[in-house]
Amino acid sequence: MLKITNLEKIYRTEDIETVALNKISADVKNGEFVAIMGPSGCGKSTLLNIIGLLDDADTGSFLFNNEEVISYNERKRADLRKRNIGFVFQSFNLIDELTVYENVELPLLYLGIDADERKKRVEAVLEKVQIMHRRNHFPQQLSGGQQQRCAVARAVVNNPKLILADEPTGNLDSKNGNEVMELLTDLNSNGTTVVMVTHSEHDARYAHRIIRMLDGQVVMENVLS
Amino acid sequence: MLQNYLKIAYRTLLRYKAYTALNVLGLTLGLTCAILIYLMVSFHLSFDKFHSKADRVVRIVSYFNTPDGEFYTPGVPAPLGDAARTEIAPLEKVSMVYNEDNVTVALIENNVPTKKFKEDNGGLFFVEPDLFSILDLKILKGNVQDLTQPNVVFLTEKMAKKYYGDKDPIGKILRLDARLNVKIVGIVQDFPSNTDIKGSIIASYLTRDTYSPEWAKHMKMHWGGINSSTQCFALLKPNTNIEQVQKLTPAFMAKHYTSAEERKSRFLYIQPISNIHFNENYNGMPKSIITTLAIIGLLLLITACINFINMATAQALKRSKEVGVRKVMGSSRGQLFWQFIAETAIITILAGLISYLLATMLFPLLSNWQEGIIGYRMIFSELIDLRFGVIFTFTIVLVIFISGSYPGFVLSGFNPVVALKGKISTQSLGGVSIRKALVVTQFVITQMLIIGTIVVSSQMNYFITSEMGFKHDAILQMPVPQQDATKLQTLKTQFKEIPSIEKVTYIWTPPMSQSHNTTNVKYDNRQTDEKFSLNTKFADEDYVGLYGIKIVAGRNIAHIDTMRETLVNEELVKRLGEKSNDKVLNKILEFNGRKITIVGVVKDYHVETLHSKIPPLAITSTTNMYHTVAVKMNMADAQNTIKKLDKIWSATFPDFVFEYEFYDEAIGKMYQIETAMLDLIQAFALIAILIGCLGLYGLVSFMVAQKTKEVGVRKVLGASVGQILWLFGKEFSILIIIAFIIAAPLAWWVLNGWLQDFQYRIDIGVGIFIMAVLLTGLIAAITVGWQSSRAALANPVKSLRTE
Ligand SMILES: Nc1ncnc2c1ncn2[C@@H]1O[C@H](COP(=O)(O)OP(=O)(O)O)[C@@H](O)[C@H]1O
Ligand SMILES: [Mg+2]
Repeated sequence: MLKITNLEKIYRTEDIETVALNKISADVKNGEFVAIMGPSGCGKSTLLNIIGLLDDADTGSFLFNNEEVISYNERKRADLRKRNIGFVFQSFNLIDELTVYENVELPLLYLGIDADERKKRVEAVLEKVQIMHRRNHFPQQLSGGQQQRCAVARAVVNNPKLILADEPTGNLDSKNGNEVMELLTDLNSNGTTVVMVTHSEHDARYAHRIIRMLDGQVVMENVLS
Repeated sequence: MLQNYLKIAYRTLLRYKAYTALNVLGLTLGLTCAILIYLMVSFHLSFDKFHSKADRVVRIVSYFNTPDGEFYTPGVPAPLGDAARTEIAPLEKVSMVYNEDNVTVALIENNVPTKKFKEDNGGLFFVEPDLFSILDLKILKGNVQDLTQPNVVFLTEKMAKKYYGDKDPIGKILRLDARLNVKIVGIVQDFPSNTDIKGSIIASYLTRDTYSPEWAKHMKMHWGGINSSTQCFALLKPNTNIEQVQKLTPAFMAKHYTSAEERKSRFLYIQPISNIHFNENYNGMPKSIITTLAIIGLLLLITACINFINMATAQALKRSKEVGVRKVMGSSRGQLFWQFIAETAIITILAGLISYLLATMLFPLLSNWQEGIIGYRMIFSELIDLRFGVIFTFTIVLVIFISGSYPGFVLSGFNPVVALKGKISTQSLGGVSIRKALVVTQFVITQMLIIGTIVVSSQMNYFITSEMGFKHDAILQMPVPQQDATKLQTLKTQFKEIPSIEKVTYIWTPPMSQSHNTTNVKYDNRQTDEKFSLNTKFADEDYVGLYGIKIVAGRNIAHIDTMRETLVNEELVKRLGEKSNDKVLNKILEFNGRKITIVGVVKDYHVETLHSKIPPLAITSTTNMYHTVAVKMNMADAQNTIKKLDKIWSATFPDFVFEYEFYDEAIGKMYQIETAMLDLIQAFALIAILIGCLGLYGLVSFMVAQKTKEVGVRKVLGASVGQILWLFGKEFSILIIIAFIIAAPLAWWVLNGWLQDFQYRIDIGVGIFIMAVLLTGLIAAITVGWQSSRAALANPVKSLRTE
C-alpha cells in the first residue's frame, strides 16, 4: 500500500539544518499494523506526516497504492487525504468549538456526503467507540480517554484505508490507552491498514511489525507474531 | 458545509467576545459614518435633478470682467427678462423671479389684520407664470394664468395649513409688510427639500411693482444695477444646446449696453440648472465640502477595514489548531478561505445592521444640525431608495472581501503540521510588514485628519479674532419694516432715551454682511464709468460712530434723508487713481442715477467675509434703504434692555413682529459653512482615531502574545518595566514617523488648497505638524502602553512556562 524510497527531509532554519529523514526507505502492506519506534527527535512524526500527505519530502519517492504522490500539489493531496487517510494524534486535536458529534461529522462534510448518510455513519461510529451518550458535549467537557475515542471515531468515520496514529496513547493512562489500542486493533482486523508511532513497547506489541528508527533512518525491523 | 461554517463562526465569535465586540464596534463606527455621509452627499447631489425638463432648464446669471478680476452674481438687471424673451430665440420660456427673504404677513378678515406671521426663510417668491412651465411645480388649486395679474398670491400647502388650518384659503386676503393687500388665488404643492428654487408665498411678478414702488420707479427699467435676488430662469427649446445660447449673449448684451467699458466688462452666463447647487460663484455651496465628506467617509471605511484585518490576523494565532485539524480532515485551502470569509461576513453584516439602525437614529440629529447651519432639511425616507440599497449591499460585500480576504488567505495558508503544533510564527502570518503597512496607513489617515482639524479651526479662530476694522460687540440689530422718515426719527429718539442704549443708527446692512449692492460708477468729470463696480452701503450719520469706523479725511455725512453726501473708503480712492484721500473730497460720485458729493474718506474695513478682498465702497444716507436699526448697548442688563426696545419698536410698527439679533451672532453665521466643515472634520477625526485605536490595540495584543517569551527572558536578565515598554514603543514610534512623512506633505497640499479660498488666511506653520505628530504619538502611547504594560508587568516565570 505504501512504499517509500530514499526519502529525505531537511528542516532549514536561519543557521541550522536538521536532517529529519535521511534517505529512509520502508514499505507497508495492505491490511498491515505497523508500529514505528525510536528516540525523541529521530524523525518519526516527520515520516508519519509525509506518509499522511500533510508535509512533503525534499527528495525520494513515495508510492501510495502504486501511485507516485511525491509531486502532488496541495489540492490533490487534500483530496487523496480526505478519501483514504484517518489521523489520530497524541494531543487529540479536536476542534473546541464543535461538539463531539460535529467533530466526527467533519470529514464527511469535506467529502460532501449528504445529511442522512452522515447522521447514520456518525451515529454508528459513535456507538462503536461508546461515546454516543456524549455526542452533544464539547471536547473540554470530556475526559482524555473520551476525547481520544472521539478522535479515533473521527479518523475512521469515512472508512479510510489507512489510519495514521502519532503516539495515540501518549496523553492517556494505561486503562484508557488500552481501550484506544483495542479500537485500533479492531479496525485493523476489519481490513484497515494502521501505522502508529509509539514510545511504549506495550502498545507496539499490538502491531504486526515494528520499525525502529534512529537519526532519520530505519535501524531495525521486528516482525511480531 | 455552510451551516458548519456559520455554526463555528457563531461559536468562535461568542467565545472571543472581546475580540468580536471590538471588531463589530470598529466596523459599526466606520459604516455608520459612511451611511450618514452617503445620505448627506446624495442629498446634495440630487438638487434640482427631479425637474422633468432639467436638461433644458437654465438660469441666466451675470459676471463682470474687470482689471481686478471677475465678479459674479446670480442676479441680472431687472429688465433682462422681457428683453431675453423676445431677443434670444432659443429660449422657449422665460421667467424673472425675485425672492424677498424677510416678510411680515398678516391675515386680513373684514379689512382688519387678525394674525401676524414672520416669514424669513425663502418667504415671498415673485414669479412669472412661465416658471410653472419651466420647472416641475404643481398647482393643486387655481389657475396659473392668474399670475398675470398684480396683487395675487399662491400659497404652498404647508403655508395654507399654517395660516388657515383645514379651511379653504382661496379668496382670502393677506397683507404683506403692513402695506400691500394681496389675494390668495391658488395652492401649489410643497416644494421638495432638494431644490434651491423655492418660496412659501408665490406672488405674481407684477405684485413686485406694488410691493416695492421704489424699485418699480428706479430699478425696474434700469440696466445698470443688479440685485442678487432678482434672477432669471429659462427653458431652452428642444434640441438646442446651452453653448448655442451662450454664443448669442454677447450680441444681446451689446444691444443693451452702449458704452465700450460696459461691453467689455459685463457678461451673461447661461447656467444649467444642475450647476446651481454647487456653483460657488453664484451663491451655491462649495462642492469641496461634499467631496471632503465623501473622502472622509471612504477613509473611515478603509480604517475600519484595516482595523478588522489587523485584529483578525492577530486572532489567527488562536485559530491555528482548528486550521490544522481541518486540513488534516481534507479541507482544501479554498474551503478554509471561504470559511473565514463567511466569518467576516457575519461580523460585517451584523455591523451593517447595527450601523443602519444607528444611522436611522442619528439621521434626524444630522438633518437638524444641517438645517440649522445651511437651512436644508433632509428627509430620511426620500434618501433611502433602490440606489442606496444597491450601494449599501455592494459596500458590505466589498468590506467583507477587503477585510476578510487577507486574514483568510493567511490562515488558510498555514502548514497543517506547524499549525497543529501551535507554532505559527510571525513569518508564517504573512509577514509583519503587511500589517505594519496597514498600521502606517491608519496613522496617515489619523494624522491627516488631526492636521485638518487644527488648520480649519485655526483659520476659523483667525476669522473671529482678526481685526475687521469695525466694532461688533454689544451691537443689537432689529429690522426696519417701514421706511417712514418721521416714524424713524421718533423711534431713534425713544431708543436713545433708554439709559443702557449708547448709540443708534439706521442702516441697510451692517459693515460686514452677505448682501451687497454693486453698481457701476462715474467719478468727477470723467467721461466714462470706472472699470470696477462700486459696493454701496446706506446708513445714517451715526453709522461710523456706532461701528467705530475711522474717518481719515474730510467729515462725516450730515443728517439728510436722500442721497446727497457720501463717505468712501481708502480702497476707492486708490482705485480712482487719486494720490491722496484729500483729493476726492467734494468731488462728485455718480451712481444709481444720482450725483453725490464725497464728503469724507473712511479707513478700510472688511465688508465681506475674509474670503474676499475689501472692495471700493461708498456709504450714503437714504431713508428708503434703511432696513435695519442697530443699537450699541450696555450689556449689563441686556434682557431688560431688549424688553424695552421691543416695547418701543412694537408700538412704532404695530403690524410687524419684533425680532432682534446680536451682530456677533450674525457674523458667526457668515462662516457657517466653515463652522460646519470644522464640526464634521472634528467628529470624523475623532471616530477615525477611535477606530485606529481599536486596530492598534488588536495589533499590540498580537505583538504581546508573540513576545511573551522574549519579555520573560529579558526580565529574568534584569530589564526594567520601562525598557520592556520601549520594546513595543520603539516599533510604533517608527511607524508613526513613517506615517508622518507621508501624511504631512499630503495634508499640507490639501489644506493649502482649501486656504486659497480665503483672501485673508493663516500660514500652515511647523507648529501644526508638530502638534499632529505629538497627538498621534500620545494616542498611540496610551493604546500601546495599556496592552504592553500588562506584558511588562507579568511574572516572567509564568510567561516563560507558556513555551
Ligand atoms: N518544523 C520544524 N522545523 C525545524 N525542525 C524541525 C521541525 N519539525 C521537526 N524538526 C526537527 O526534525 C527532527 C525530527 O522531528 P520529529 O519528526 O518531530 O521527531 P519525533 O517525532 O521522532 O520526536 C527533530 O530534530 C526536530 O527538532
Ligand atoms: Mg513526534
